[in-house]
Amino acid sequence: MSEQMEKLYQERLARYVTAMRNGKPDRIPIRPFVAEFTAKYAGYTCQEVTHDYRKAFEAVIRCARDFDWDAVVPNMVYVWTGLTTAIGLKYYAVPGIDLPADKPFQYLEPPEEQAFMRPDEYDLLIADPTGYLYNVWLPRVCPEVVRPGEPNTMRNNLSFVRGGMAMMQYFDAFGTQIERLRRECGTVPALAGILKAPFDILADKLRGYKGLCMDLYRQPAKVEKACEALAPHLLKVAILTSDPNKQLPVGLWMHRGCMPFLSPQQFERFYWPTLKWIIEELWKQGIQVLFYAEGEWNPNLKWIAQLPEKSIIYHVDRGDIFEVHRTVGEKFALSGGIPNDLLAFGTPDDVKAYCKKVIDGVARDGGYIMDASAIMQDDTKIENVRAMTEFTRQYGVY
Amino acid sequence: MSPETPKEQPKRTPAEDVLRPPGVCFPWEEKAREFPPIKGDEKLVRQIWEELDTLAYLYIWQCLLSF
Repeated sequence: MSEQMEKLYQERLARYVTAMRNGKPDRIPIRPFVAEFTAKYAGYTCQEVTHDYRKAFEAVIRCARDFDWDAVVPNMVYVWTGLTTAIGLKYYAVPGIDLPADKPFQYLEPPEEQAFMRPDEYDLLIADPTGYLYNVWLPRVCPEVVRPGEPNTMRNNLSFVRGGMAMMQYFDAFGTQIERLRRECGTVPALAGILKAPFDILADKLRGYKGLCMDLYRQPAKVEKACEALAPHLLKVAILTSDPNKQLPVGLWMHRGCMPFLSPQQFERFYWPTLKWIIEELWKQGIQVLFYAEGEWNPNLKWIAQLPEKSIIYHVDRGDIFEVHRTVGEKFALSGGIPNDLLAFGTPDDVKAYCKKVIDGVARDGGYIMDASAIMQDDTKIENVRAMTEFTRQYGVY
Repeated sequence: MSPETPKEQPKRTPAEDVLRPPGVCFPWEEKAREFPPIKGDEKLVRQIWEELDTLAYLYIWQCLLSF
């Protein structure tokens, strides 16, 4: 690695970490969450970057090198459908198989009566979450896998061998990718580790959103107990997958906690207690959380404000970022806030004007990281991402 | 040379019957009962078992969280 590239990397790391700790670095760090946008830029199809992670990694490298960003997620097209196909996961529509090759992958929620967890299975989940996942959930989401007690099959055995080896291969490759980003681009990995809220796991992968909404009325105590049972495991996985140096945050991807999915009262009772506990426990160990607030979360700000100072980087999607800054800007760094529809349909001048508005409104004292509101897919215009990047680099100097 | 008599298999605890704290699929305490008295470094055997068991734990939770 050249000394110059390492110097660049260290400068960017210091800039990024200072901003995430709500401090004032030399300039605003640029850390765009770019998913299928990278394929568009590098000339790949969605099928190529989703099904062949090596192409996804290469696309990220090209973007990092050409746009000169401070930090980037090593692969934001996170679902490697090579792995999901190898183990037989049935809840994705895969580009090039189920979808045209130029369409991003889709998550498929089953009909309520075919939910991956049945309404009478809460006690099983609560008693032994890991056992439930292996014995009940996995055979249901992977038809290749048989339940204990059923006659074993070669396809069952192969699913685990392929799956285990594929997962090792994929996660090992992230090490090389992170090293390439550092050596070839001087770019910092934006995140390390995975976290989801217990309620979101119930909604996304177990009961389904509609089934869970019925449970909130029919068996609310079971929903609370299930969140409590999941929480220590989600904390454990977040710790196991986090940055050992505790500089990079764990990514928390929130889906169903905000309005209109949950009322603030439901949020307070079902969603928040266990998630708050996980974030507090992580922060006790010095691990920050990238609080990706997908949707409109401003009605929930009074609860979010309860979190320890600097424990999260609050990523703003559809909420009013200026109100977020007024309410919790003293406690937490913010990121995002540049609307995706503007990046998809606006002009570079529109984008620059909006970036100026956000920087003037929330970033004057530091504690802000430039990014779009939500993860950028292939509808984002390249010239608009360039405008966001170049404007911030010039105007965002302290 | 006569064939060796197969070793008597110890009673194996079904994976469904163990208590699993976070980070664990099959606890060392249960697995240890299946071994004959360990002649060498038991800590080493335990450490490697637990490291690999954690990978099995991460496999299913990563399937749930990331895939």
